[in-house]
Amino acid sequence: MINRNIKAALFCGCVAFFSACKGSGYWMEQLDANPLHQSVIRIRASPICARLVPMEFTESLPIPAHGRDGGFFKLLFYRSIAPKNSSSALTPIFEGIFAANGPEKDGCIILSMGMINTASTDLSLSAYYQAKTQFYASLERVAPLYFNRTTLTPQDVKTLAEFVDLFEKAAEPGLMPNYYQLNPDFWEWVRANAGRSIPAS
Amino acid sequence: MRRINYFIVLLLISVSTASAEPFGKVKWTEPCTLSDISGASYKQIEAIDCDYIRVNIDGAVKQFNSEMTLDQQKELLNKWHGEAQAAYKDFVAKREAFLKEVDPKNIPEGLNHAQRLKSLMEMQNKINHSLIEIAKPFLYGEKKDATENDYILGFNGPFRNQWGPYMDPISQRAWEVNNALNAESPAARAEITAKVSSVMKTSQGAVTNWNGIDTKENMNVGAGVALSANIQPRANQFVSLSRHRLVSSPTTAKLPPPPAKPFSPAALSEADLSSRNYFSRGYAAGISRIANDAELGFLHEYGKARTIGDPIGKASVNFSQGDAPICGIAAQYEVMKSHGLPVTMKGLIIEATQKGYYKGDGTDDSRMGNLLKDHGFSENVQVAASVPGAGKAMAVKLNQALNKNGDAIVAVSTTRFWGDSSFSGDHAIYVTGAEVDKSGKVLGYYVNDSGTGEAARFVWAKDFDLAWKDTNYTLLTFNDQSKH
Repeated sequence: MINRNIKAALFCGCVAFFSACKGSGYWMEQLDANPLHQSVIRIRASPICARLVPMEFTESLPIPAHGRDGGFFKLLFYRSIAPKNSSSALTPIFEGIFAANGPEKDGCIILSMGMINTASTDLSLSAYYQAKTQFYASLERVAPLYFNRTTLTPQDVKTLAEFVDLFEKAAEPGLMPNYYQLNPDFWEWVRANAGRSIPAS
Repeated sequence: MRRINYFIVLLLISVSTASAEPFGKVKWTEPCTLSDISGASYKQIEAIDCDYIRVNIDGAVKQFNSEMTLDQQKELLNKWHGEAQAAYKDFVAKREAFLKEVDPKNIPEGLNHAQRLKSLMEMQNKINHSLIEIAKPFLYGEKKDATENDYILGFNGPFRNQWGPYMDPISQRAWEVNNALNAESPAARAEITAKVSSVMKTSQGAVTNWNGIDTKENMNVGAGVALSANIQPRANQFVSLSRHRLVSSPTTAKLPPPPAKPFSPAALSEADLSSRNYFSRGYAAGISRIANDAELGFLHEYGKARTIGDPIGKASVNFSQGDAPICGIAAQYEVMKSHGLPVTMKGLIIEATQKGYYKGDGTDDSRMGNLLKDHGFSENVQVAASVPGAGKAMAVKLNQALNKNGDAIVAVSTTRFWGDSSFSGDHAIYVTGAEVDKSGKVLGYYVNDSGTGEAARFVWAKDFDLAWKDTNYTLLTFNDQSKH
């Protein structure tokens, strides 16, 4: 007869194991529930962006930006060629902007016609959605710190360091220079407070 | 001894010669790689040469790899190089001359807003209609062996991404004209609106004369109506406007035809597996599809599910788009073919390019039904509002469309729909039917997917929703109002 404690340990271990092995469907649902991600889907469908950005274009991760009216977010829309490790030659790149609190700032502009290397991160589907979900959750914590420019506590610094880790895991490797250019001020603020950030370009 | 030394010298010379040049001929592998007989890389072919050869030389690879000596191959490459460079030089000259013609900076000073708008629209029209002519013969050739899946989707397909360096200046100019149009529109609206009102009041005949008649007056008035309706001005918009504003006919939606034979999902023949491309996403995905169909067969057998629409009948119209971002065109092509229109993908690509619906990088959601509209369908593109419950409301609309007409088009996230994180972006697919239970609840949908080449692929409702949700439930419904 198995000792009751061992049974409990096995049960808890199994539960922990299975909850750690969540499928892509679970992470997709978590991502879909994130308000910032919902905003990204919203601006794609906004009248300006829907007319400008082809449906086949992919959205990048958003990053915080400052404006006269307060904080908002910026992201890129770019064409990604399906085969792995291919690059997209001279395709228009669009910049999208949105605020977390409503659609008034939703908009897209054409940024440039540049070369982008859109090599994928090579994650499994489940890991991909997990990374994105965790990044968006972290962004929700970091954005107010940047918008308000308050003095950071040790916990805030830790949050910022985690944000950099999650960004590096979820972001497209070939887009790093473009991410930096979206808002150099943000990335330098991260570097000044967390001790590290993405490379300046 | 002297004879042996002489022999050794000759051997050394021939070996050293062989290491400098390959023995015999080289082999050309797709797209433009040359390798010697050992398989080592021989030389690169310049991008200009490669693009020109692939577009213009019939059977280039076969010709090169036929029974030729190395010297003959070198001579052939030199000949093609000369032709390519001459064609490229001609193309650059034509492109630069054209860019001067369509430069907003060259619009004369002193024009009012409406006149400037007209000039910009003429420039936009020129760009939309001239791309192919400018690219000939360098990038738009007359290959006789062009097929649908050829390098450039046939000799009159849209330009590929790798042609960016050649076409980029024109694309950039197109955006400049587009931005100038957007900037000019609000001021021009104020000038034109009053004029439009008086013209429309005075004569219905003047309005009906818009049908395809691009008089100077009509362009101004048409632009005004387009602006009033908040539509992006395009020269050919006038024909569309007249068809849908002036010609009122009752909606006579065609009922979907009954299936040619009773649909039994489990009774799959080898022909079915092949024509429906079960394994184009790989072995596991194909087996999963077969398992889904077997389960549906079981549900049918016991009267617990029934099919709406004719997904098997519509499987034959499926089109494989390859790498080209033409899913919006492909989905509309499949709709038209399944409704009996004698269209071709080549023709639709040309049409979409010339009309500005397609610019080489993809389709924007707001125009994903424009081809259907131009071919006699009434169409409606809808996107869900970002409110709770919006998805359910869109699902109701999709189901209504399937029950009424048997088909619809939706946009889905490729990552979610194909279950592969190396793919991204949204993708238009043709929904050809559904499975419902006894209460009418949808169990899942059938789709033709031009991205993977799969036809009549069944997707369970939950998986469909996850992929559809990521595009804000973009839905294109339509009614066939053509006379065919």
